[in-house]
Order: sequence, then structure tokens, then C-alpha cells
Amino acid sequence: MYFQHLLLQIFHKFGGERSVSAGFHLLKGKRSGQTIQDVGNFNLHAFFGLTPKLSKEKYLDQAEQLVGKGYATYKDEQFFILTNAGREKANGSKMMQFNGWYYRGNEHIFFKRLSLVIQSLSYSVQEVKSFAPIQKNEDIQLWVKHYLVKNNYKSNAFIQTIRDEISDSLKGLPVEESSLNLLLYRLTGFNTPGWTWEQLAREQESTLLDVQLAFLEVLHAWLDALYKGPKYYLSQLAEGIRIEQLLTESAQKTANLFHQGYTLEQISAIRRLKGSTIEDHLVEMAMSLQEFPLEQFVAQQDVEAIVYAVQQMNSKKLKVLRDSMPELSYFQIRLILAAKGVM
Amino acid sequence: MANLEQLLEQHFGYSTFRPGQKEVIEAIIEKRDVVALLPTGMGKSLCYQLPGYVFNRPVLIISPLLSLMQDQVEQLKRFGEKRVIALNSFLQMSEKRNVLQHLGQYRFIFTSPEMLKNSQVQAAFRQAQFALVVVDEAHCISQWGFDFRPDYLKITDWMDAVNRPPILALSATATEAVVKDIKAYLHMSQPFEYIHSVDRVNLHYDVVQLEKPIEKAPWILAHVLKTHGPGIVYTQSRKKTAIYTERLLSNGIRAAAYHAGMEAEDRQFIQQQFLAGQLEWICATNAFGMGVHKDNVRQIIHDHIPSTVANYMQEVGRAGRDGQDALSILLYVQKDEDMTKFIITEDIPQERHVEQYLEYTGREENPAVMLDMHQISETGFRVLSYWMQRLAPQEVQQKLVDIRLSKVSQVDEMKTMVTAQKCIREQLLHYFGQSLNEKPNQCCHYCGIEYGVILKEREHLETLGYMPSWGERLSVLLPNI
Repeated sequence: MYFQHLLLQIFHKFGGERSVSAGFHLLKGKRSGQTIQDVGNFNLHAFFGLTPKLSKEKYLDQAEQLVGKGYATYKDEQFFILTNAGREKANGSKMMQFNGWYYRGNEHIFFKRLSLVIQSLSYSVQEVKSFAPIQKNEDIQLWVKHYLVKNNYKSNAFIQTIRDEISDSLKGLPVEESSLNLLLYRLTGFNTPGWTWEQLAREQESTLLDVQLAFLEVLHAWLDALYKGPKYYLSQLAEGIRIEQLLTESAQKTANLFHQGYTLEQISAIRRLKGSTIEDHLVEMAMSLQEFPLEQFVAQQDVEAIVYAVQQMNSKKLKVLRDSMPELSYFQIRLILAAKGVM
Repeated sequence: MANLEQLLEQHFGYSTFRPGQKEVIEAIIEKRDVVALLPTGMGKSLCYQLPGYVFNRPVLIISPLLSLMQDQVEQLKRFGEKRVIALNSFLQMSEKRNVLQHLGQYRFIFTSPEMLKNSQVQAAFRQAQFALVVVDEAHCISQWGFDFRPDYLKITDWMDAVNRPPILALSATATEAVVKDIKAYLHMSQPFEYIHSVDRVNLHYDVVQLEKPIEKAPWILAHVLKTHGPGIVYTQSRKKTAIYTERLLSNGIRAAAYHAGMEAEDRQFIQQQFLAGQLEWICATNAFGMGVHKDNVRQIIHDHIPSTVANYMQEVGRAGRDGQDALSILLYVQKDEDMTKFIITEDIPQERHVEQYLEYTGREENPAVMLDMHQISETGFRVLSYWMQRLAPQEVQQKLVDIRLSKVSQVDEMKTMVTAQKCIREQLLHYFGQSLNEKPNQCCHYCGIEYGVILKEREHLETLGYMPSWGERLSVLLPNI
């Protein structure tokens, strides 16, 4: 059910202008020009890369179920579009708290640190010195060791404060109680083993995919909250988790040259890449960088005209927009859509 | 030299040795090669851990499984040992280099057979002057052993033939043929041998013959509802672990599945729950058991014919480590052995694989392309390329036929033990080249066995259902002290 809500929200934003596969690529976090552009054009940052391991069969099966329930349908074979009932359902359901674009899997590093910290403290308060660490990754182990020593983990003040920080910050999150339970039951400690996904799904009468997504939502909401209102000990665990480097590697190289003052043609020649690829990179930059100099490429009144046209025609299809503004190139329209993503 | 008992007390907190440990350790200190066969749970690892504190040079331990290595490293750390390192593929290049340059600062160095193929590793090891080289799970060396690993045959290649440290070969289960292989492949010179009896007097063996495969699941459920755990049901597929678990759970039994396809954290949670007594039954593939130290397992059920008698021994040996009575039940339906044969021979390369291999080398292409083309499994390719580099193609063909026949005949041995009208205990001992001194009561299904005498009745436990809220759980994890 949870996953189907997610699909409704995604295709509500797509507004019937993309195929069913576009949602799949988005959830997988595909790093192609098209998917990255979709994220910007349709303001889908929240859902990017939430389920990197999802299989296409499972995805299509869930989409098919939406069709079966009368919430969605296929238009001209290639577009996946919500019905009125589907739109109502999407509008009526609670906003999901995902923030995939900024975490991209790093949220799991945060959780691994947390789980080893809690396990260590749980044994330490019982004065049990040795235990088999739940996290086997040596980088995580070293990180946590350093963290614990730095924060004088044996002091009562530390344990009390971190417990209060966890409790206070979780209480304020706009997520279900059952999702907070998932989080705490994935933690393990002295005489208190964690629960497997199977056990949690069974307990909550849910599916594996749904409990894992609900867990992910808590992590994202929690991290967002910790970045907004830092907590002394918890926020340290979130260090370096949020992605500051938002461009793909190749787009970053293009951006560096662009900032040095090279023209698109020069960059294309230097990097031995096609002009269209460099244009893709610029679109990616327009989408991700707040200080992108859009005015170097289009006049201010053209930007406003496109924004107006999108609202009038209720479409972000390039072909439609181009027909209404034939003097602009596709590249210029794409730049505007990318830079003005939230419309 | 320090008194061995003192060292035992000082570093491990035990006051006495278990049978065999002291003899083995003394032989090691005299710089002799040693073959030690000690049943699981009898403190095999101590045989090299304690000498580590006698010598002032590092001990090298070659271990075939990464998970096992991890377990042993953690065990030593728990005893407060800091100078221990696992030199394996998980380490980064720079870390590896650093470890290799400072081998002398460690007391215990664990490594895998794969690492020993690396020429830099070999060079560093030759320089290191180890006090002792330990080959753990040494039965893996033998092609008669149940885990034949070609890489294991080469683990002594780096050593000087004359001027080398003594070798300790450890195993829980090895037949005479395997011991012979171990000595030959490791070039051991007149080793001291300590062979503990494989008999476990508190284990009782039953075989239950059923008519059809579909009778197994209901039989298991009915049995589990009546008798006391904790126990392990061993089955052959991941799917079956889920089917059995579901059946037990829906009948109010605390059960969980376990197999290698699960997430690492989930696997640990299951182990922790089992150890903490929260689970009555684990339905598992043979991936479960290594590194799980639970003393009070009361029952083991096999729903299939294990691939070798040694495997069977190892799996039933996880019951009754506390010395109390424990029961092993094997459910048998005619022709069950065929499924086992199919599974264990699946990965053995076939005639056509040898031909394909030759085609690639003939075109001067890397035969590993076979893996990319999904023409052969990874295990299969490992075996194939090992022999292709050593034997002529015809001989390889013959070798593969031999391996296949040997594996099949080991399944038949297991099947015979189950179906023969003979005492199972006697047959088990005979298999390992030992003989039986005394038969316990309730010995086996042939000698007569009654569950009521061995096992207590099941006590009803609440199912795992109740889930305190997240806030309560937080205060259980981090209580006010």
C-alpha cells in the first residue's frame, strides 16, 4: 500500500507527461540526463533513488495494481496517467517525507553509525566489555570508535543526553508511530536483539518493501530535522551524510570549465564530447546550482513567457512549448524548465 | 618458559585444559608439525591461541571462510588481544601494504588462501619468520574433504621446504583418507597426531522413514509442537526455509528462517535472538551454524540426506554442546539422495566445459570469458582452471569424472548409513576410522530410541507478537543506571 501511495505521488507530479518507466528510473536513481532532468522539471527531488535495488517486475506489478484499482491508466500506450480517483487519492494522502536527492543512500551510513553507537552504549551501561559488533564494515567501526572516545561515552551525561536527543527529535517528526517503531526495532543491544525485516513486516501486517520504505522515510525526515535544528551528539552522526556535490561527475567537469569562462563550443572541443552532451550538463547545472546564470542564455522576458505558457497549457512538454515560442531553441526551453523547476 | 596453566588462566580465564589441548600445545612448542582433530566446541582455536603467548613471533592462521575469520578475530579481541589482524580482501590497498610492512608487530595474523596467491604477500611472509602456521578447517585441502578448494592446495607454496615454521592442521571432521591428504599436501614431516573420538555420547540419532515428500512438513510441525527446543531444521533450499518457518509461525511457534541470501544485519539478529532464547526453532540452509556458539541446542532435524557423513556430523554436532541429552532426527523418503546428488554435482565442470576452455585458450583468449558468458558457475570455473593449468585435457576429463563419482559415492555412504539395518553410532565411528567403546542408552533408531526419555515436552511460549512502543524500546536499549 505504502509503495502504491508513493507511485501515486510521483505520477501526480508527472501530470501524465511521462511513461511508466520514468517512475522506475527515478526510484532507481538512474543518473541519465533524462531522469535528472525529470527530477528538476517535475520537482521530484524527494523520490530520487529511493529504491536502488528494486526490480522492474516488482515495480510494474505495483503499477499494474494501481491500474487495477482504477487509480491510473495508460494513455497512448506510452504515458502513465492518474485517473480522477487517483488524483483525489494522491491529494488526500499525507505528504511523504522523503528527500532522496540529498541523501542518495548515505542515510544508511548514518543509520549504521547510529546502530553501532547504540549497541556499544547498551553494552557499556551494563558494563559488558565485549560483544560482536553489528556493523562489520571497518570504516564504520573506526568512525564510531573515534566518535565514542571523543564524546567521553562512559559518562552518564553523554548517555542521558543522546537518549533525550533521540527521543525529542523523533517525537517532532511528521511520520507515523509505526514507522518510528521500525527504526527502534532495527537497533540492537544488550539482551535486546533487533528484528528482521521479515519479522517487522509480519508484525505490522505489511510487506517487506513497504516497511523498508517507511524506515527510509523516517531516516530522511530525521536527517532533515537534524540539519535544520542541530542536536549536539546526534548531528555529529549526520556529518557528511547530506550530498553537497549535486552534479554528476562529468557534469561537474563541464561546470568547472564553464566557470573558468570557456564557451560551450570550447568545452565540447576540450572534453571531446558532443555539443548535445555539454548542453545536457548545462541543463543539469541549471537545475542543481542556485547561482546558475540563466540570463546568459535567455532574455528575462522569454523566461517569463515560458513560465506563463507552462501555466496556461498545463504542460511541460518541450514540443508544445516550442510551438508556442518558435524563436527559442529546445536547449533554451530546457534550461528555463530546469532552472524554474518548481512551477 | 611460563607454565601453560598460568598462561591459560591469565589470557583466557580458564583454569584447566580440555582433552587434547595440552598435548597439542606441547607438541607445537617443541616445534613439531601437528594434525589435530577435535570435535566442534572442544576448543580447537585455543590450540594456536595459547602458543601465541609463548612465542615472540607472530602466528599465521590460514582460514578458508571470511565469516569464520571474522568470528575468530572478534573472539580474540574479546579476550583483550589487540595485536590481531585479518589480512583479507576487505582491506584497502594502502592498509594491506601497511600491514605487510609491519607483520612483526602482530601476535595473530589471519589470512585467506586467496591472499596467499599474491606474490607481494608471499614475499612478506617469507621474511616474517612466523612462529607457527595454522591451517584451519584443513579438511578443505583434500579432494575427499567436503569443501574442496583448489586454492588451498597452494597455501604452502611460499614456504621454504627445509627452513620453515611448524604447521598445525586443524579440523573437526576428517576421515583417514582426508588426514592422509592433509599430511601429503602440507608436506608435513612425521607430525604429531591428536585424534579425538568423534563419538558424542549425549547425542541420540533417529531416522524416520516417510512415504512421500509432502509428509515432511506436517511431521515436523507435529513433532515441534510436542517437544522441547531449541532446535534447528536443516533443509536444502532458501525457499524451504521460508515455507517451514511460515508453517511454524502460524502455529504459534517462535521460528525464523536463516540463509545466506538474507541481509547481514538480519542474519545477526536471528543469531542474537536464538542465543537470547527468544526463538525456539531456526529453519536454515547449511549456511547456519558457523560461529554460532549456543550450548543448549536440543534438537537437529534434517529433511534431506546431507552431502557427506562429515557434513552430517558437523550439523548434528551443534546440538548438546552443554553435555545434556540432545536428539538428531533425519527424515527420509526413498530417492531423497537423488536431489542431494543433483545439487552437489551441479557445479562440477562437464566435458563440454573442458572443450570450451580449450577453444578459448586456442584462440589466445582468456578462458574466464566463460564466466561472463554464463557458461559455467564460479565454483565450477575455479575447479576447471585449477586442473587445466596442471593436467593435460584428457587427464582433466578423467579427474572431473573422478570428482563426480567421489561426490556421488559420499552421498551414497550417507544414504547407506541412514537405511542400513545397523547402529548409526557404530557406522559414524567406523566412517572416521574409529571404533565404539560403549553404547549409551537411547543410542539410535536401530538400537531403540524413545523421545520421551531424551526430550522434555514443549512449554508454551507467547509468540513474539508483543511490540513495546519505540519510546519504551529506547529506554530498554539505553536504561537509566
